[in-house]
Amino acid sequence: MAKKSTRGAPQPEVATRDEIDQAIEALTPGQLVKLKKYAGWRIRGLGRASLNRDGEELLQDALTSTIVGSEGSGEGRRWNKKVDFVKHLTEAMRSISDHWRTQFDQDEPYLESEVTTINAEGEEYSPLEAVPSENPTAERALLAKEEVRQIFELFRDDDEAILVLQGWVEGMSGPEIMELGFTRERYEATVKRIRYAVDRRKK
Amino acid sequence: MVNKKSYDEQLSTIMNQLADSVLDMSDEQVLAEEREKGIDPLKEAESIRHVLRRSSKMHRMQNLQEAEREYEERVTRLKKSQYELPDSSTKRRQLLAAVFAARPDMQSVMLTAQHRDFDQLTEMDIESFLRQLADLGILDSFK
Repeated sequence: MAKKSTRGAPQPEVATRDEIDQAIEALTPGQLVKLKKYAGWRIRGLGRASLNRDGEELLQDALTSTIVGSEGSGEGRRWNKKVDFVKHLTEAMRSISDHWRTQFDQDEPYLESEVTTINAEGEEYSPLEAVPSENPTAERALLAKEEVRQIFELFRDDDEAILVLQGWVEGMSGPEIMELGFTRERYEATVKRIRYAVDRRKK
Repeated sequence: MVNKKSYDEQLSTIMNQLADSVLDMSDEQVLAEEREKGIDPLKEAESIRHVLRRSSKMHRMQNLQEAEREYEERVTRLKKSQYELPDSSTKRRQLLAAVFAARPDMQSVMLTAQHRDFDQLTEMDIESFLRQLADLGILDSFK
């Protein structure tokens, strides 16, 4: 009788503690700067949900989690050596920052508009009318609105940048935006202008 | 009606897209952008490597400190525990021999760990082994 094949999906080759240290030493200057910049933008994407953490903390958390993952306790994030180390760290940062956002959203009170209902008389009724007027979620939304407005304002005279920004906020990917009539070079040059201007704005 | 929360999401999307745009750049482009901003990218890169090294070292230190603390706690517990061990060294040796005869698994763990034969054990070894066995509750059935 033929034996069933026991071969399944390829097993990940989990890096050891020492291999992680070696990978840190092997990172090129370009990769290191890239990690820092990526972390910085992810933190800015969190807004108030960052709780004053900075990009360095996000990067450190990603590394610590990877080290914990190498210890075989079932915790942390295991680095499969078949995956590029920079890619692993950026994915870890993406996941950690998403988690921070989710946690922050869960801890924040609901927007008044989200809980307003219609009573039997057909009148709008909000249970929040009975609580103090401070509303951190509404404040956060207003701050975000103002920041988005200011970013668009930076490109008042730059139609291409406005098109890219609008594409992004509507959930379009880079290739989808390029289909609107951008060559790759023009798209990348536009993204670079946005990156420069938004980066300068924070300082 | 505009969803207020969507502004927060819009802002997040823009920043996350900018984060992803960095990943699409070549190393040379990243370094060139930093130079254009008047930043020395090599110095910056080394400071980031230093942050990563420090995190790695701190984690190693934490593990060591934790292991050290656990060891100290165990030693303190063994020292504090009052065990009624036999008075004479001959009786203590006999007791340990009896335990090992009844529990060969313990004998193999304790002696293999030290690469020793029973006959080579010193008085201190025997007392230490008996205390550890007492701590595990194994001596109770030999009273």
